[in-house]
Amino acid sequence: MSLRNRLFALVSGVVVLTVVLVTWTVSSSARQSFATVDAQRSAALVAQFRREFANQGEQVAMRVDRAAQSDAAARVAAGVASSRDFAPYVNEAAALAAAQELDVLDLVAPDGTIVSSAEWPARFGYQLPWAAKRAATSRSGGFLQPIELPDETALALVAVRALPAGARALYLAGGRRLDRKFLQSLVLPPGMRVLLYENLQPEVSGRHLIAAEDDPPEAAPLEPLIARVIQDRREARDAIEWPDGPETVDALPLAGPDGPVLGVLLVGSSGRELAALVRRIRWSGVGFGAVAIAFGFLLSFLVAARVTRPVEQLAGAARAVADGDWDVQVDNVRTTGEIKVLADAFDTMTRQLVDHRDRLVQAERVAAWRELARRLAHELKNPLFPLRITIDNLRRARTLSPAEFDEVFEESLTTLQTGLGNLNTVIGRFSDFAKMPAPEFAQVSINELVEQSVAIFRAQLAAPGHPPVTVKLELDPAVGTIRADGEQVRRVVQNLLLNAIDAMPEGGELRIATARVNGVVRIDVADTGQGLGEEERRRLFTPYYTTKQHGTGLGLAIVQSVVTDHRGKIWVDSEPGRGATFHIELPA
Amino acid sequence: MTRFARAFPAAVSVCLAAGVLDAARPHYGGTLRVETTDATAMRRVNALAYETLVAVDAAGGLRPALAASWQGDAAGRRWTFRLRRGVKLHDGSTLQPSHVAAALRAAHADWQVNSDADAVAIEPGRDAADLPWELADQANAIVIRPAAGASIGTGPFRVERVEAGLIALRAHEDYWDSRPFVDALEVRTNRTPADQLSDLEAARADIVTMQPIDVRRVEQRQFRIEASRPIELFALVFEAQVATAASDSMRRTLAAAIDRGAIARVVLQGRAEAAAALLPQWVSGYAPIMLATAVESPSRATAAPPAERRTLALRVAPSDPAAQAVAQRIAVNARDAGFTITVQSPAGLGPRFDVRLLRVPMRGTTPAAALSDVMAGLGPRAVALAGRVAAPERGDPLETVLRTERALLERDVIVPIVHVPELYAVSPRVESWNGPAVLASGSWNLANAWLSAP
Amino acid sequence: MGFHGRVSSVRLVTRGLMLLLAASAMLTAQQPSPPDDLLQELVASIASTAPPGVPVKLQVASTEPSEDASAIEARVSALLGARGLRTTDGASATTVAISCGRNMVERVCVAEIRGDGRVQLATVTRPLTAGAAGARAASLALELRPLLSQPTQVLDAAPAGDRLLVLDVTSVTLMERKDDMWRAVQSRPLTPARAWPRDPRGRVRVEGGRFEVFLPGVVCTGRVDPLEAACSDRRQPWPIGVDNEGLEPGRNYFKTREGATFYNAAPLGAAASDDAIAMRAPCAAGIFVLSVSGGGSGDGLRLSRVADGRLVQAASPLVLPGVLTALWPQPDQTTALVVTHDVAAGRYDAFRTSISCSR
Repeated sequence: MSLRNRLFALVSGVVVLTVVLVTWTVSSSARQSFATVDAQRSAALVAQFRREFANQGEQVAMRVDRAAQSDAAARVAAGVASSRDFAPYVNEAAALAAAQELDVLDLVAPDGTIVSSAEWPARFGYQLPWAAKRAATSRSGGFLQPIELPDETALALVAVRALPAGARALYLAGGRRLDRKFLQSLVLPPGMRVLLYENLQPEVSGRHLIAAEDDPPEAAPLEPLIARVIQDRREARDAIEWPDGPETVDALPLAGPDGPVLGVLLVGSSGRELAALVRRIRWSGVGFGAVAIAFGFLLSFLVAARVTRPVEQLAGAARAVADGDWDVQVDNVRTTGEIKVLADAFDTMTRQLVDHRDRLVQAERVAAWRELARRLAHELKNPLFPLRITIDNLRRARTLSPAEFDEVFEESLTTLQTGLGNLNTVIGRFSDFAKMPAPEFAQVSINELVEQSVAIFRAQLAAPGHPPVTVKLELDPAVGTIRADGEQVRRVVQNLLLNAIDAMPEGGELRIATARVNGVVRIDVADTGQGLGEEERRRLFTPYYTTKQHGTGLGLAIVQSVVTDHRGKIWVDSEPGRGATFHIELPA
Repeated sequence: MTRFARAFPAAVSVCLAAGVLDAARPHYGGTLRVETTDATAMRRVNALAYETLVAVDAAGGLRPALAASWQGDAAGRRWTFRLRRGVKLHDGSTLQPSHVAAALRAAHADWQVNSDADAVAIEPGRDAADLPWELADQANAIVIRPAAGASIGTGPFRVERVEAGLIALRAHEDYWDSRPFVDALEVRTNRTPADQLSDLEAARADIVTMQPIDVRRVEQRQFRIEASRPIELFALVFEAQVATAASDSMRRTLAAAIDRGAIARVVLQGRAEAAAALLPQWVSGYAPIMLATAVESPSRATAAPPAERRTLALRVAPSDPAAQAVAQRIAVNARDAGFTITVQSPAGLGPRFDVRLLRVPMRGTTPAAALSDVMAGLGPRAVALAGRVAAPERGDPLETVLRTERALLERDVIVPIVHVPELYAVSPRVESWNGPAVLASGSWNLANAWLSAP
Repeated sequence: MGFHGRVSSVRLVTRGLMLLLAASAMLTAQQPSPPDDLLQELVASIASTAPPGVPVKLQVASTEPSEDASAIEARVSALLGARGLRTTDGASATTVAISCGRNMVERVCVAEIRGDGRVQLATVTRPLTAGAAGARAASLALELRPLLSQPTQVLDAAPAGDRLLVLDVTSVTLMERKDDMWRAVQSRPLTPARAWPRDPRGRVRVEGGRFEVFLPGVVCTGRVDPLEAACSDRRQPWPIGVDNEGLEPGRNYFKTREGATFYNAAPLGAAASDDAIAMRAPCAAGIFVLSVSGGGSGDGLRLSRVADGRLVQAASPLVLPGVLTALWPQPDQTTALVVTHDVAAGRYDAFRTSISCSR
């Protein structure tokens, strides 16, 4: 993993962990605080509702009183007292109710017959038995009463007043419906809501649930709580899980004057705010985390820009150096500090390496020239000495007789030609080494090349009088073909085989192995000869360096040159007396 | 008792009478402003402009109009109407018997109508003992249609102009029965019932139509109420899907559950009569028998309707507050019988309904014509559902009318509820000189109306 | 001014159902005549249609005050009986529903005969008018004929043969007609003397040689000749043509069993005055209502006709020479006793009023 990624992972991990911890802590605290405040608000709202309810009851009673004291009511009472024909008064209740802002008003004759009804005008003549009963027994304030309407039965807060009508009484039963408007008149803090359930049917059903808002909630989750309150006639509390959040609901029974529960008031304190807060905290955490991660990414990017990239550049330069490009510089690395020092040191190193290399190359070149000169001198000296002697002999033979001079002249010519031929050969080898052609790449089978090369030497090895050399071939079939100049590779193999055979004058074992390993093809040529020392191994591939009595010392140089042209590697493992193994790696 | 004592009451009476007479002498002049509905206006205004040969008087009998006298043979197959002399048309020309004959021929292609110097002879081609009553129908008004120009009549008022929502009439100066007291009439038809009452209270109108449910309001404000005889019928008409034989008991149960007396007495403030028949008693003369047979007939025994037929939708006109109040009371009565009735009064298209509350006028001057009007008002579909009964022809005997009505009511597809009069609220400044401003037939007696205040 | 309940703070108005009951009771007492010409023809149709030998159950309905349902039923029953058809009140296989009335054009009697699974109709009509020039309705007028005048308040007066028994607040007096005037012959005090309520009211009824006097909380009986009266404190219904429990003690109004209060009873009064009685005219059919209209220095009498459930003025109002203190119909309903109080003169005047006709 790169430094940038590690840095990024580290920063991000720290930040995320911190954010998670903080978020959890804050949301837990928020929950606890909310629960406390919630309970307080619910209690306050319930108390407020009780006050409001009592207040509304008094208001209703006051309005009914005013209606009872009006001239219109007095006219109706007088009419009812004097006549059994109530027809003229059938529409009086509506006007009275409108004047007193009552939703419900019934004018009821002494025998319980409805004279006029504001909420259901067509219901005149029917009985309203509770009016007289309540006038006699109820408190002066309002009370809960189911009211029949054309399409439904509803709950209302009503009061009843009796107006003298002759010897008996006309009853005014009026009030306000407990409906959405009533609920809307309650002042609610945010996050709280109030619902009213009208318990006017035998079965508990959400159809009788009234809400202050336009969109009443699903009633099914509330039904068990409502049923419990109705049965126990006591307050109860429940936590309700809604799709959009939890809610704590307090339920109060609302009883009529005779005792049965006529309605249930439900005060809900929404957990949505808490849930929303927790969600906000979480999302804030997520947001901060994201910001932090982005920060971490930026930081890591910056760090990478300042550290990793220069380091990578340095690494790249080092690789280039390893590949042989010693001229690489990292002076364009934008960085400071230690990395800058490192980069400068690297540049210095490469410059020095180049210098050293140049000097070494120069030295080697000089050494090689010296070696070449020495070799040339040596090679040329041998053929030239006999030439010099022969020329001297010829000069001296001038004094001889012509027949002796001719004999000496013919011998000397032969010796001169042989010597010139040797010189030519020597010069030819040097010429060959100088003009090594560029490889011509094609798909070649290494194993075939090796076999062909070994076949060439089998005859020589099998010749009588040749020291016994065992040839072992370990050719890996998986080697397959590589892209190479077949001729040059053959020459390389042949050269190594020749050297190996030359290294075993008393015989031994010659092992040739091929293998495909990690994307390269390996050719190993091992002998069991006398081995090579340290110095020899070092200078083995130097041109004109040889341990053989004969030879130009160019063979391994040519081998190395070919291997290098094929972007391969060649090295030797050897110890004195333990033979030598030459390893060639060629890219597959 | 002394002579003085005997004379005293007379003297007092005379003095009082004198004072009263001075205060009650009618005034000429002014414009009488009437507000009513479109349909009512057209009918009543036409009657003011175009007269018939005979007319229904204040007591509900016949009186001479354009015909001074009439005589028919025993079977009523030939009638002679002697025309009043010197009747001036609105254009100043004199009404001729030929005008009358032409008008009657135009209205009745199957009649033989001939005229001579001062009479018109009518042979309706059938027995028509009550032809005079038929001729009292506004459909037989004498309308002269010149080749060019507007129609001309003989009535106490002539139509001066007609605009959107307003008909303006002017007194006919040469009316044969003396010029009307007022100079002009303005009849507005574009005011809602509530606005009409407001206009009356604000003195912007003198006579307005009113609903029975507004009686108390009008009386409390000291306005006079003038009413015709009951000339409109409220009836329930069931739709096809509940007019089947399978729903017979349901309809009967519902019909029996309706407390018509309470509707007439309370909902309509006593300005209606409970109806067991389509025609009121004063039109048919036999209405009580419909009630008697309705109660006692064993075939009308009611059973509780099946549960699935207990919910009904009742459609009522949105612009008729009286009809809505009646419908609401019907719904309450129906509840006692186990029905749930939803009252619909949509302004436009509404959901499907099972039964309608209709308000049907009857204008005919004979029982056959009145029943024919009612059947036309109920609609051919309702009549077909009730029993595919043909409307009685003019001149059909009363028994035919009775049979037709019984057939229409037999299956309770049509259920009469109440009969109501046309009601008008009249401003105190409107006085009537000879008879009420609104006659028993509903006709406007505005030629006799005068304004006590300008 | 005036002791009549009209100007007191409590207005008690006669209305609706109770008035209708009053009308029916009065009409029953009167036995009006059924439309015989129509019924004869109708019965002939019924007899020819109804299955022979099966008793017939009759149901009669009528909305015309002049055609009493029970009278029609009795007449039809008699006519059917004459044709060999028996009527029964119980269940029967043959039911005949009859309705008589009138429309604009004619008088109508209709019968619906149900029997043997069939329904048959019979209709009989008679035109109302001859047609030609149209009949003119009779014009009516109220007549007021003075009876007597005295300082003591006259409560009621009833004929006893050719004499007059007059009830006032202190005594009952028998009067004779002499020299065109009524003169007292005998008088008996109403003992023990009592304090009557304001606006005292009383009725006297004479049958044969005996009389009954009805006073607030007191009933007296006696003989006309010789004049004797014995009174006791008790309360019993007054003969005013409608069910009542007698005048409320200490008050000037009646109460029905249901508790409704009224002064007097007349049919179908709508916005009638407090005091109204039913009367008949010799020349016109139907019930007329004589009611009191108040105002100014004296009351007036108003005659109205009952048409379509409403009162329609039938004659010119009659101005009374004082405040009306008593208005009682006589048994035949063609006359009524009117007593007025001339406060200035300190005198009570009793009149007989009736409806006279002209053509």
